[in-house]
Amino acid sequence: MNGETGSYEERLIADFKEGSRERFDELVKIYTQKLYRLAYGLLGNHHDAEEVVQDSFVRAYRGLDHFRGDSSFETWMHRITLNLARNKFHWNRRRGEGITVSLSDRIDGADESEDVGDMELPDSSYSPDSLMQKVETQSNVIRGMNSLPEFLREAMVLRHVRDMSYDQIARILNCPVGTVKSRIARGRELLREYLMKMDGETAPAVPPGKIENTNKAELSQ
Amino acid sequence: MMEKERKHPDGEPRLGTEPCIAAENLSAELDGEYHFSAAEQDHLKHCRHCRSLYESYRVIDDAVTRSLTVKCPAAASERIRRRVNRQLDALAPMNAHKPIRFSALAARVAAGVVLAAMAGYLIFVDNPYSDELEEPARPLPSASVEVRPEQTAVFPDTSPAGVDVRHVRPTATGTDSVQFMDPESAPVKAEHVAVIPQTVRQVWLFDPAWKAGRLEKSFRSALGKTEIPLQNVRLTLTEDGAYRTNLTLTRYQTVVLNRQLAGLGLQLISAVQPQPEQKLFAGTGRETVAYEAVFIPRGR
Repeated sequence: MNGETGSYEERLIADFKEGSRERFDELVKIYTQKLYRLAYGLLGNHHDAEEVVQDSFVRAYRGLDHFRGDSSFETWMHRITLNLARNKFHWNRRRGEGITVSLSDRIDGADESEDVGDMELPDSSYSPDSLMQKVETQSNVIRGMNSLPEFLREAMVLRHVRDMSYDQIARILNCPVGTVKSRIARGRELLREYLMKMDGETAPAVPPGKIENTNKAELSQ
Repeated sequence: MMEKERKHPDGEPRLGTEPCIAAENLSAELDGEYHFSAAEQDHLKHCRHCRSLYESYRVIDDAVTRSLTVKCPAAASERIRRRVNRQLDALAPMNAHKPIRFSALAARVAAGVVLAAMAGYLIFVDNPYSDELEEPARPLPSASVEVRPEQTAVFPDTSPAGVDVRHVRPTATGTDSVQFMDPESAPVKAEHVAVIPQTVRQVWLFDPAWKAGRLEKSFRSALGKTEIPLQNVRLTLTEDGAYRTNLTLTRYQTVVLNRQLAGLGLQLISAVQPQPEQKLFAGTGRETVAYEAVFIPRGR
């Protein structure tokens, strides 16, 4: 969070604590998009993401009086959403609800108003067939992410979906930067192995010692 | 240092002394969190294995970002804002950050008054056995019943036939036409949208000619259709022949359970919503409510 945004948010929070509900509404506007991306990244469907973001704001509203500013407001909000998404993920898993990918879901962050043809696609051979392939790949990637241990998945999502630095991720996950580095590396490797297996190929073995400084106890969770 | 031949992970022999780049560093470099040394850059140019790993990580990064990065649709964003505001409106009187602040003593006195009022309401107004309920929506039992716990039955996980009723899907007739919606966007007048309160207390009448165990069986069947796990469900039989149960259900489950019970021949005599014939409900079906049901033989 840059200084300008930080000071603006600090003013909003201070005004809110003085009793201004409108200020909280502004915080909702600022953070909806960011938190939605995080929740979708962790849960893989729009309905759950919407519910988690909504609950995050209500929880933040109830706790904002006690927000001491030890971490930034952004970090605090991300932690709330992360915890709620974690609960939701476990709830879905207990109920046997897998992550589903709908053909009606837009990919590449397309808005409802956008036409699929306007989307920037990574290859020029855009066709309905290739769109089907992309959705298929998308579901494979989501399944692969879903198969990762929770602590690896969360680090991966914060990095790839929220585009956060290791330092920001470390503050949200409340762990050292080195741990974030090893979690993301391990997450990439496990996902690579998973996708290679899905394609019917065998993932090349990673040489012993390639993943260094990895907390073995953590990975055995 | 003397060069020696090293067996490479992909089976390709290679001359050189530089070890392969740690996967963690390959990964961190892609994130801009690590910078290759000159030796590592040189190694990457010549080592097919490290290059392949590095490229595969890049492909995976692209796939993850593409698959999981979405923009919150404008409609969803507005929905979130509206629902949050509605929930905050409900919370507002309870929140302490409002300018009006009670002293601890005043707050305790206020809480006492509220509790007394709620207790009075439950005893004199909402009590289905009370004679003071003036305009019941449905006929009340002919005489008051004193409900005292006598014996408690805990349902087993499976039915006598060995069928795990927890996994029986709701039937089409049991759940069709149930719709939860935002009352503001309802296509019909707001008064047609039923509001299920946080606490639902319903009294049901059952046929006194039912054989022993018929009510338990019917209730278990209704719960199974509602997909409620049976382990912790307790149905308490009183000495007056009435049964009582307390559950935590989602609003949707409450509606389905209502329909199932009505479908099994039980008659609801409480006016509290949901009613079996209602179809439109306010809010979301996932919110939980405290549900209490009392089953009494008709004619008591």
